[in-house]
Amino acid sequence: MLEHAQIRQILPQRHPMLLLDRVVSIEPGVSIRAIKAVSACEPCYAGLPDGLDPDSYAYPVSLLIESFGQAAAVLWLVSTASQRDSRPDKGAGPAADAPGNAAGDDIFLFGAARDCVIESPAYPGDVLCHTARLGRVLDGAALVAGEILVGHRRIAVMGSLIAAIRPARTIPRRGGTHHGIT
Amino acid sequence: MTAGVPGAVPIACRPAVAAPIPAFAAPLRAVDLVSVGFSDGIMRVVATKTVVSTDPYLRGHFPGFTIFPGVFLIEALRQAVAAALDQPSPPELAQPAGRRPDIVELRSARFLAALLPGDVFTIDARVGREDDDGRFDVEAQCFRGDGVTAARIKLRFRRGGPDDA
Repeated sequence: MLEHAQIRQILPQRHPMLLLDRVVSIEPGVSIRAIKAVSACEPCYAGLPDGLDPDSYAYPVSLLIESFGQAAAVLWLVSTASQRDSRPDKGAGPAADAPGNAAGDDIFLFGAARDCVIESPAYPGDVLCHTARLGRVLDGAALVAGEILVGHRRIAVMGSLIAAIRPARTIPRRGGTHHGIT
Repeated sequence: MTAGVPGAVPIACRPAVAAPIPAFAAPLRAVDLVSVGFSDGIMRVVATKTVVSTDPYLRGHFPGFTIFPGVFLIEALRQAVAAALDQPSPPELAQPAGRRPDIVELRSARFLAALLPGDVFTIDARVGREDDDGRFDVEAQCFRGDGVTAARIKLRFRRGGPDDA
């Protein structure tokens, strides 16, 4: 299990874009179960009028996907660190090799997605449980698939997400072209 | 606006109007201007937005170094479609009045270039006909101000969003 303090060491996102509260279980290289509680306190509900259709208060699908993507990112980053640590020739390893380095010099980016089906909306009060499985990992990019549950009910099937880690310094601050990321 | 979704016929659009503030939970106002056009049973939606680091969620993505998140292009397409469907359409294309459409499937998305504060992006989308269940498909390409393709996105929407029954 990873508590919120440890998640902050792994992910570079911060409030209000850090959309992961706790990792319930993780098997490096294989799978993760992680929790995100949806709250009416979140900025996406700020300034919303009363009396709208109930589905207007549904948690935005963009944030649902982002939250799942952050669970996928923790799985991949912890898996990468774990694989490195298990190498016989690993040596002492500088701190820069730790997954926590993602909060410093590396940026985790959403590369692509396919076949993500939202089966039910999520609302404030729902506790999202992301279950994600690590697929292929190639050239600094990873493929992750899984599901989002609320209680025992599945609310989304995530066909595949592809994420990439890039050093922040490779992303142009202004102008220029940088392919493969956003 | 000459660029468009690959293979799609150009459809002339009406003058752009300010996109309404979303009357539904949304992480940011993801489109500033929106314009619509109609041809041969297809609706074209063109929307633009200037990336600003002061948008509420962007200060956490990332602190001191804003990158517009890929998922917010999905959000922008959602808001562009919602705004477009609120505008008058030709009778043969009129969507049945009813509940607001929301995303039920991210069929595919590819994010190809970073969008940073000051960048203006344009979403150019084609909205297909609604089926009997209120579902319709949307295909979009997103361009950065310099013409670089920032993303390609295919979404499926449904009136009232995912069925909770």
